[in-house]
Amino acid sequence: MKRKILKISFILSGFLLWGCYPNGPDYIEELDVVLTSHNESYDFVAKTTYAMPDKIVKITGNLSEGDAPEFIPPATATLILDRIATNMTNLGWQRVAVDKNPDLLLTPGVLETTTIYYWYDYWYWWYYPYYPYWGYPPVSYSSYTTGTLLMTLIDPKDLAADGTPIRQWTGAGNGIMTNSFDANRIYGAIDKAYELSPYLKTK
Amino acid sequence: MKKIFFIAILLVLASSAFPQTSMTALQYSMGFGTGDMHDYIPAASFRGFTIDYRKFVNSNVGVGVDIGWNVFYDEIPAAEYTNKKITYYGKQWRYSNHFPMLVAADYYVDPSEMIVPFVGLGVGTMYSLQNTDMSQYTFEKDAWHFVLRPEIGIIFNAASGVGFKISSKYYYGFKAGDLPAQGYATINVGFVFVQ
Repeated sequence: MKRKILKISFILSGFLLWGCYPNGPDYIEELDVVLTSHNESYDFVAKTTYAMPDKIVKITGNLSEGDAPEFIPPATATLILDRIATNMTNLGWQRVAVDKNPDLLLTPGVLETTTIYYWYDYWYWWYYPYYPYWGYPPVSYSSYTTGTLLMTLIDPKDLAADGTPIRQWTGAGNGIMTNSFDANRIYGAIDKAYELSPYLKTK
Repeated sequence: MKKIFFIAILLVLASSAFPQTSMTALQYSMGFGTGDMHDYIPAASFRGFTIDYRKFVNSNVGVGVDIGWNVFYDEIPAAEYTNKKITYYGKQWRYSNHFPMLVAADYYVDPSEMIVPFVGLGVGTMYSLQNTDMSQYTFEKDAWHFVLRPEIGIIFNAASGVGFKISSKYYYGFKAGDLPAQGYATINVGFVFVQ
């Protein structure tokens, strides 16, 4: 009897602890992350002007095949570009037109990545032949899409040996996308990217 | 996660095949990290158990094995981190799983009394699995440590063959693999079954 109680206690304690294993995030906003990197040898203080387009390009693999670039909806792009411009102004930068010889070019872009994962129902062998069996394990699948906003500063006069521009600063905000535009998340990512980059301050 | 689940099942199944004339303790274990472990996860662990088996070689000495599982977890608020040339900001969920497996010996001061103080020492190995989750990514490190484990405690003989056990253990796993030395103290309370 004592050994039976002991064995049951062991098994129950294992499952109890497994059931108490901590979970992770509860909300998708908690998964948002902001990254920045910069060229440490570049003198941002000596620069004062920048140019930025009035559209935001979607980064896809089709451009390399000669397809026309895609852009995010203009209304959404305007909100994002205005926020970027506000942060740049706060750091002492002056926005000029691209044909006015700016010191730096700010190129914004967005990237969407969809992850699809699937799994086989390994229990199918148990419920067959009581339920329909299609000759192979049933497959279940789910997916999620992440979005990344990229902001890159390049110096049009500072090019690599092969003529490609060198990224002097990159700011990125990444998170799981929802069906609606969440201004708080986007603005928070943009503001935080500039907060992490005090070396961009020119004044 | 699958790794942790299978190790936990193995620990429980391995513990349920003990022979007679022995003592088996099943205890709830609370852990408190020290050194690098505390720096990584400051929060205490309230998810853990130990299973201790002792075969009496004489009336004062028991020799056997210990197995256990302690889970340390903390939710780190969004903060700034720098790695080489990249600065990143976000929330982290940190997990540290420890599975000690030791051979151990205890000395019982006066086993015929109702309250029996004891001291013990264990030596063996401990598998540590550390996960840092940030955004949709997890950064995983693991190692098998050589571990030393002193213990001090009291056994209350409540009835014939059954008692309560309160003990404190300190696990020190030496630096190994991807991980620095892992040290943590535990306070354990539970039941003892004497066969």
